[in-house]
Amino acid sequence: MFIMKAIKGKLLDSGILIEREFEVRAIVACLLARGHALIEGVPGVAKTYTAKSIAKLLSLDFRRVQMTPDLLPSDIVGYYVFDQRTAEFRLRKGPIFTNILLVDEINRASPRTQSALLEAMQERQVTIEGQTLKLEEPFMVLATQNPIEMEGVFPLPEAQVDRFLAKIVTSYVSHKGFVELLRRVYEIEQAIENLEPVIPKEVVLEEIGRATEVRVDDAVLDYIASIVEETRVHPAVRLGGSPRAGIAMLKLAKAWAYLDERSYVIPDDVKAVAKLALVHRIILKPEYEIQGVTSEKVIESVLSKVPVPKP
Amino acid sequence: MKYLTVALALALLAAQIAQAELPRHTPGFPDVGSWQWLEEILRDPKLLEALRALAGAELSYRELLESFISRGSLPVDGVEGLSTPLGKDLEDIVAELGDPKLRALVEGIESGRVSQEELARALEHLDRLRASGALNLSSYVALLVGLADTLRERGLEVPQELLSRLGTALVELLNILQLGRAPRLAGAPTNPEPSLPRPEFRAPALELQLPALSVPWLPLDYALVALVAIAAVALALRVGAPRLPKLGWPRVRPSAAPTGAEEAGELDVVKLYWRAVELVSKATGTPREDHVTHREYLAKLSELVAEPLLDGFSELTRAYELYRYGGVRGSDVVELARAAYTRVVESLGRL
Repeated sequence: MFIMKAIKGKLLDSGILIEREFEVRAIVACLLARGHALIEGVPGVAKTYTAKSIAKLLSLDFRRVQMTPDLLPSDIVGYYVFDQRTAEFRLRKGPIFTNILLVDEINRASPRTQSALLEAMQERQVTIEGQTLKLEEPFMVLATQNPIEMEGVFPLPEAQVDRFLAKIVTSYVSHKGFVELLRRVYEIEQAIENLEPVIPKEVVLEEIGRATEVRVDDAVLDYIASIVEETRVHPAVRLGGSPRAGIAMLKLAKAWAYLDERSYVIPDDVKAVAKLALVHRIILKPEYEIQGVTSEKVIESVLSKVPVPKP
Repeated sequence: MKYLTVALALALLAAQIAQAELPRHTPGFPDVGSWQWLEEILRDPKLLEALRALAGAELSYRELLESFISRGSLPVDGVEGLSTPLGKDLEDIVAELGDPKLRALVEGIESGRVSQEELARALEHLDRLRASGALNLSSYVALLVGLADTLRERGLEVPQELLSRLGTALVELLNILQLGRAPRLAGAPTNPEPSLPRPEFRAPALELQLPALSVPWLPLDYALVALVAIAAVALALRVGAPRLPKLGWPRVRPSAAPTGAEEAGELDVVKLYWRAVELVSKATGTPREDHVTHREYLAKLSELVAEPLLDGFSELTRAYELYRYGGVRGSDVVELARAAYTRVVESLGRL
């Protein structure tokens, strides 16, 4: 719980991030669940700021990659260079060898480069020139993407989207929050620049361990499975949730309960994380998509249909 | 004569065994099953009417209910409930309410000039008063009883809708007041709220209750033969029944071991929660839908009900969550649930 309290105190209560409590909590939940987060939102809604400020508070190695169409896979994972002095090939590790990797505008990279992230995200290892290298724990990819632009972007393939434990959709702040932001803009910019790490790596690893020990009743497992199965039979859905979607829900629900200072999961946790875990894993039928049906609406409809555990 | 005495003793024994039932509920908590027969009668207007007719043609509905109360079948003694309004005249209750429509209806009935349509409208008006909270449940029951009796006395037909409403209201009252009569295990944790009546635990199946056999017009020989035959049938039924493992007095006693009693109590944390949900749903008209979680339901209720009901239900929800999802076992959570349930029932009784 220390992580959340520290982040809340430094970023939310101090007003550095305005009306971003859910996003912050979701990112921390992903970290505790040993998953990766995809933050999606229109330009200018503090996606990068949110990710960057959280990463800066953690005493972990942090790298940032700005994705561009001409970025190569080797620019991310690394490559071998020939050292003329020693007459040997020497590995120059890419930015992926870190704890927190902020991949900004991930959909601007070519599919080839995006795929370079696949192995690292799933297996927590990279292979360069046939040599497999383990990544250090904890390892988390925080990626941002802009859903509006259509030119010069490469939508993430389903397989890669599925690698993200959660997709966090951010939106505009309220009018009151907006005015507050305008009033304190210089102060906030300065505060983000001056953020110092306050959460030791040991604490992060310890809390990740504790979050996995959160108790889950069989009835809650049954509830999760029923929700995922219901997404598959929904009339508006072409492809519903996979078993991996259920696993993501479970992991996130455990982390969510932990952040609530509880040692057990309740159905409310499952409901709270359902959109985070499922929204990017559901593919709608085009005819429904044209009518304005969204994955969020489908999930809401599923949650209002699936009974919670009884008695 | 010696054999006759033995046969008689055997017959009495067999009759007792046949009557005796194992406690199917958790000792120390309401035996919901034992009221089911009454609920069934109350829910069916025809059965209620048949029962009144059986009890005696001149018996009024009020007398019928009073006989239920005096026999302990309707558990309102000791709890402020039906007794007070039932003891009043219909005119007094209507005068207290000060509702002109009801006064006009009573006057119409008194003069024998009321139609079935007017009665139906009046019953709907009563329902609205009840729903708005202007009329509490006990007064509602007393009004219905008074109306039924007045109609009967004036030789008018008592509509089925009236009896049906009466039965439903009585069942509701019965449900709310059940805890007031809940027997408790000796040595069970004491109730933190001393104002709530809690009779001492009496295991119902352990008492010998000899059946009354006073049939003066039946010759003794025939009576004995009949008794032996009944005893044989009862014994045969008993042997075939899977509930009792062997013949003899029921040997099941409330477990004195703390673990057994604890387990029984723990099981009731979930039962108590759902029982409270049922009661609160009826009282507020807000059922807990299948997809709604316990916390969501509590949040919904917090907009509808006030203290102390909300506080009690909130505590019960917490106990349910700890037990159901947290796997928390122990006397603390059981005691928390019991105390909270008591508060919920008491609060509902005051509505």
